[in-house]
Amino acid sequence: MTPKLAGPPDGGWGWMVAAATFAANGLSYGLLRSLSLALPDLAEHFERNAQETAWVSALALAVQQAASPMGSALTTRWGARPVVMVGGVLTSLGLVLSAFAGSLLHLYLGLGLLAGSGWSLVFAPALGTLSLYFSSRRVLALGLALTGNGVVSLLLAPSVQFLLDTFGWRGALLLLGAFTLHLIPCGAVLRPLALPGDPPASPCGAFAALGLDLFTQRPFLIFALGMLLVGGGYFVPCVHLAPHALERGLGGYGAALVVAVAAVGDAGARLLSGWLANQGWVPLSRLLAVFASLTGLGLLAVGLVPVEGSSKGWGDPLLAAAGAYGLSVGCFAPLIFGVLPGLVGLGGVVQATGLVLLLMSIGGLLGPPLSGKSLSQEIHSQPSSAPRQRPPSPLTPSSPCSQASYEMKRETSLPPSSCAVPSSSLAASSSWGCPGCCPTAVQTHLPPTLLLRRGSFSLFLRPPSSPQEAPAPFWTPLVDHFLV
Amino acid sequence: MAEDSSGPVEKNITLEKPSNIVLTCQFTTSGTLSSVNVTWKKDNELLKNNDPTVVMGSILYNQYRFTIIDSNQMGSYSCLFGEQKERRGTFYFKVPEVHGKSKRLITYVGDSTVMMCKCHDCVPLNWTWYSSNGSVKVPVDVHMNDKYTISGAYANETKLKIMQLSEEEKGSYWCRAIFQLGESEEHIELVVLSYLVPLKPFLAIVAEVVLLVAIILLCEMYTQKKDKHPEDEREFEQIEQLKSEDSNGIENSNPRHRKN
Repeated sequence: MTPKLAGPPDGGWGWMVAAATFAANGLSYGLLRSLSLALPDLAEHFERNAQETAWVSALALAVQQAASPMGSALTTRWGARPVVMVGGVLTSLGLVLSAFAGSLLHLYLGLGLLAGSGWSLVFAPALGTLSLYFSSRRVLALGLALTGNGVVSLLLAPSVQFLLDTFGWRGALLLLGAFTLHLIPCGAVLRPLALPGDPPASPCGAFAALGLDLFTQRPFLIFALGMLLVGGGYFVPCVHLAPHALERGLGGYGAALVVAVAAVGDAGARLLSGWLANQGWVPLSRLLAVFASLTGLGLLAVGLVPVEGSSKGWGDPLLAAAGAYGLSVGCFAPLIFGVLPGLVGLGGVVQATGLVLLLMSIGGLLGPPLSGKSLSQEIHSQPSSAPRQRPPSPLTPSSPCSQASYEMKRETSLPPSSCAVPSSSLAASSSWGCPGCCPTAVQTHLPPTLLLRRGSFSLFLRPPSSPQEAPAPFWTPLVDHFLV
Repeated sequence: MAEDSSGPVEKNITLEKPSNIVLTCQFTTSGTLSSVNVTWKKDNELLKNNDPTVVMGSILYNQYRFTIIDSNQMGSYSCLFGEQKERRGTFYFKVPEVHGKSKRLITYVGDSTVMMCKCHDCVPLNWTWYSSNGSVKVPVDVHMNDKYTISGAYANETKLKIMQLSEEEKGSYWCRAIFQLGESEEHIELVVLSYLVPLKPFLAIVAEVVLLVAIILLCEMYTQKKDKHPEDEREFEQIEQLKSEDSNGIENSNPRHRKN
């Protein structure tokens, strides 16, 4: 007597999975953010300047995001649980080995490569599994889990400082490596779940597991391209906010406060937006488009807000703009992953998460340096005070996200039978049977009628406009962290 | 170089190189100005001043010119007005300060460390390093087998690099900047720990993680067993019920319903 496969439990053990994803998010992105506190000590010990040591955490972040599809691919083969546990071991190993570093190169390899690839095996599978466990409360659970980043980094920051003061940077890295081992219990919590629509067999072929065939679906393709462009603008304040604040004359603590306000706004907004999206008052796709535009406006606000900072003042307008940016970005974040099941079906969520992270990181690698470069070019070409001009931005797409949501609406209205794709083309490629088919477990959650005018929302993604007289360009190679 | 003072009782002056100094004191009073006496003192030692007192309106100006060549002439210079109610203005001459690290430097046995001292906006003639255990300062011996290296990328900073640290090398280290007009020092504390110190918390955390994983997996096996057992029990009960209904066939007129 085989038990009937139920749909997503939407609760129960799912909340444990949410807690585990919260911890995983915190132990990956949050830990990386607090690690930046150790960078000055490292620079002093290895007698290098701040930029070179900043590459350590930038490399870790880049490897983490870029290798995410690998994590998703391994998950489709072996399930989320072993992959996350192995990721935890790898990360911990990377941190422990880097505690014995004899040169900055060892740190690049240990922290950057090893720990980064460990982290890449953790985030996408955990998030994907979380999506499997929830249906109607998915976005709420996602919002809850994504606040792990902000909360853990806020809690870890004083602890890391304490570790640095008590044990030095070597001891601190050693103990952080031990702390990262908690990713293993997080992985253990991710119980595999049997759902209707699961494939009968695992994929054959490495490329199939990567889920590259997901790009053949138009909605996902548009969404992915949109995320590539979003990645370019999304991370710009992460890199440039602190230098921007400093350059406006705010002083060290003022700049730190601006960054903290953005971070707190981000974390709080994720939870709020998860709850809000869950209420179902507004359809997910519309929320996505609205929050995406708000993010763009928030970015603009941060760049344009006139700040006459002095080292004594707190730069209130910039604080308000940073808070607005943090709130808008935080609202945006859970929705990015919340719409994925609607786009690709529950089966493809893990792979889609990995691919989206990869594309965001590509955008994130290109965006901040490009914006800094265009700023420095403008500064060099206009030595005297000139009316403020916005630098030519490579990042002004016209509503890719709304297009994606438009496509999603079209897909939802099609009856399941018309989604049938000839099986011959699939046998060699995808594992998930029919990605184009609409899994019934998910579709019931999305309201049937979405009236979105194409092109009604556009994403303004421009880097902060340059100041009139800037002493030096504040372009630095990714000195700060991506926030997911 | 000319220096002025008008009002505040004290003024700190940072001086790096020998210079000609002009100190001006300005005294405002409502009483008779002609009876006010002006004297100059260096560290309570009376100085001879040839400059006359200038009166402009109700303000008295008096200058003292001198040259500072070496450290003997550094100190505090005061101008004193009046005999009954003495008003005093003081100039303090100091060499530039040196900045090191305010926190302790934590290292491990066998590790190497770099200690840095920096002087903002000033260029010392020379830098020296001392180590001290207690009150005695011993200069650092650079020529002893590559253990200590003193270097500096710019003239206004100095670095002491120590290789192959051992536990006895912990303590206070002093960097001293030598100017023509004096010296200024800064203190850096070095702590050398053994690897056992962080190892204990490390092992404690690893043990806790192993425990957590064991608890989670055991819980899961337990709940899986519980899920299997009720099914077995239900099957057993169904069989029992069928048997009993079979034997009581006529009495039981209710339609058979399977328990699910």
